[in-house]
Amino acid sequence: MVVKGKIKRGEYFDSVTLMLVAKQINVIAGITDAAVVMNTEENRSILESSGLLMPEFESAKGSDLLICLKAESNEIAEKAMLQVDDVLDKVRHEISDTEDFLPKSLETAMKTMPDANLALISVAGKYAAREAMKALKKGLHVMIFSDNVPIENEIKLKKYAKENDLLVMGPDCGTAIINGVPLAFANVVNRGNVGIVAASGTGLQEISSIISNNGSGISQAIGTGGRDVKKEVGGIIFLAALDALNRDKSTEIIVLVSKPPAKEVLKKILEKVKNITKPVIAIFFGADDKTFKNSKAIQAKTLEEAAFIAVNLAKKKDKDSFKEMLVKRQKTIQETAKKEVNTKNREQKYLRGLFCGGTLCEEAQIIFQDQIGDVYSNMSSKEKFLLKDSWESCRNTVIDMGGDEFTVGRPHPMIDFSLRNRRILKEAEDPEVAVILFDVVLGYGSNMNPAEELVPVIKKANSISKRGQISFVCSITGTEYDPQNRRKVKQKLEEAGVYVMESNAAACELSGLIIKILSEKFEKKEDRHGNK
Amino acid sequence: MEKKTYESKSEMNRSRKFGKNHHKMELLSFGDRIPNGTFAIHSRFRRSVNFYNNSVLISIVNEDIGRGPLNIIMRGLDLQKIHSLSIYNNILTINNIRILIHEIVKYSSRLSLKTISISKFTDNLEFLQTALPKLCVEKSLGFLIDEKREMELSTGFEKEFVKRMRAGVELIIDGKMTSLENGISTIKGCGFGLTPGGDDFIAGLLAGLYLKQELFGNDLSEIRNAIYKTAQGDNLISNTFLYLARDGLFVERFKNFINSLLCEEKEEIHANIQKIINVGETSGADMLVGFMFSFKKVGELW
Repeated sequence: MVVKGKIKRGEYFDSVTLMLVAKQINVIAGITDAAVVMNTEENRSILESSGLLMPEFESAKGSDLLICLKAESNEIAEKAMLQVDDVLDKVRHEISDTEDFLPKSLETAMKTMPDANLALISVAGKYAAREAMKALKKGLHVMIFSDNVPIENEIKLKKYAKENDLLVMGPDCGTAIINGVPLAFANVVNRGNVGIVAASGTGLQEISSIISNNGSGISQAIGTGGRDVKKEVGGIIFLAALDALNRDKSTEIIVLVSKPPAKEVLKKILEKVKNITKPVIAIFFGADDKTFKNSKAIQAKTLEEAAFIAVNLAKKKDKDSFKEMLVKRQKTIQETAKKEVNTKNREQKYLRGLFCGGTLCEEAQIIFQDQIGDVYSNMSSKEKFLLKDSWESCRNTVIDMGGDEFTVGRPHPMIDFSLRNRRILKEAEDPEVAVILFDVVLGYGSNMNPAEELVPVIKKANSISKRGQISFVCSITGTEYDPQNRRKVKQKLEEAGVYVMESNAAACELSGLIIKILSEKFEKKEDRHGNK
Repeated sequence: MEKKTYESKSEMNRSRKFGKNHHKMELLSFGDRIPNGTFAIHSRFRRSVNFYNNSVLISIVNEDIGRGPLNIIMRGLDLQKIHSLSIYNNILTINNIRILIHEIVKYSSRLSLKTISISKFTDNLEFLQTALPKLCVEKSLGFLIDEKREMELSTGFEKEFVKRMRAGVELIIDGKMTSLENGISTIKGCGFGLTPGGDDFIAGLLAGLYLKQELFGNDLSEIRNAIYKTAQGDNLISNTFLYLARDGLFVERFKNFINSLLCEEKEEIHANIQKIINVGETSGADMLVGFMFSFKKVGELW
């Protein structure tokens, strides 16, 4: 074993940078331990206790950085040391280079790109409305990525936009595709003739990805921000976007998707649909069938169904022709579920769904309701099934890991998997868990190495669960053209024993069916033995 | 080739000194503890540039970092292009550009404890105790209040760090002055970044003790001084934070947090904890953990 150390004179880095560098070095094959810390007497003493203190560190001063690592060979140590230099250089350049590339005001940005017609605002919430209004007054459409924008400001911005025939996507709009350009968290999809209006980020991503994966494409995908369809805002932008897509020559079919909207807003939207000249497919979570009774909109039950109908219409086929394929898939799902049930013991009876997509979590609750009854969630609309503590699951549970309680002080779970990874391990320790369901959302902005981060966790979870095997089921929202490449991610997860389904709906269907068969199987056995 | 025109001579000067991306500069905030002097660059980060002069460290920061007793906030200034700073007679000079410091931009770092409800405060402290373990960022000192968080620290150095911090904190809450000093010595300077977690914890502890004295009137100045004296090291940034915390001089985020703890609802406290933690790194979370420990009953000490 070789211990190598290096002093970097007068170099300052924040703790997160140093921990990330140490983390990267620690995963290099042949490195058994590493530390990158500021020089203090106390840190030197800790290094000594952990066998990483080098004699040359005695000459280090208070402003110096200490790098030390333990490796299986000199060669590995030297290679890793070079890597530390590279990473730190990169961080330093990020600090000094960024300012040269980024305009610092809207005015400068417009000078750099005079033809721009859309501004993407991503500043602290309290400043976002001011910047958005500046952009609107310059005749730009606006996408506000920032959240925590006061609702009265949102209303003011949207009213102004409406009067001036502009769109305000957001606040808290995480994704959009405008004229083929993916904005914020968006997937690389085919261009085509389907337009989407969405008050749901991952809903938009799931639908646009499925459409693209099935050979059609997207003309425009307009996000409105979740609050747009609430009573206070009244769907100002949702309605305006619907009009815009009706006018857009490249759009022939329109898909509407939203988390539960306010009743009066939904009514307005369906009223507006009557005047739309193009076919409209709609999925509004939580809306009852009666609302759609006299509507011109084609109601879809799942995100996947909305996408399939759109694809069929885009290809001028019978809109329901996908149902045959779903029947076939249902058979495969049943066979898989039966096979998985046989790997479970008597104790295993519950599923745990860990989602980074809020809409996918919402969809899961609706699908499970029909299959296995209501499930507990941190996002349940039913008081009884709302988790008291989001950190503790209860019976069948689905968690939106993008909820506020999980995202404070850390990036969104689409980017940073660490919290969900920990939760996967925690759930695996529960002897009653039979299925762990999760989503992987690809695209710009999302975690670049999802499989590399998930596979070791799944392997570890399997080793923790000693009594019976846990079934891992997931869906991947994304396409082959995404920077992460859906096909490659799928292959790696499947190699780790995960059932990777074509959609969130399919993943929920398989997970729910395993739980359903398990409960029937053990209930019957208990009946036979008179134990119940 | 298009010729660049300037609205004024001073704009042209600014352009030369701050590069092509310069904008109209505006002084937004000037801390109440910033002394006169000529300062040299100490360290540079994306959102701040630190300057020093003898044992004083002041920072030019962007608006995200916010106001503080030793912070200068300038709008329209490229932080990466600043190379010199001096302050004399209410004139701030950055890269030879002179800016008048108006009274209106001066930030007051003192707490103004006008509306206090002790029962609400006690209730809110309990909320802090429940909320903080869940809000602490990864690899922070969250493990001192929630054992499960220890699993985030896994390398050899990190495990030793955990041991050291636990041992130090045990001594701090032992209830004796000598143990307290030994505990502070054990944890000071321990941690990863520019302000080690141990120092942030001590700063939080000092801030909490200051508040406790202000609220309940018991004289803790001897203890605060002893902690401060023991915690002093050769890290200028840590020393500065420690001195500010001992004397009850707070950055705006922390002031807002304390005010919400004293008289506001839980949502407000939650939001203010988030704002402290969102500064990035682990410092905010580490300081809050220290702050929480100052409200534990520690023998006869406090």
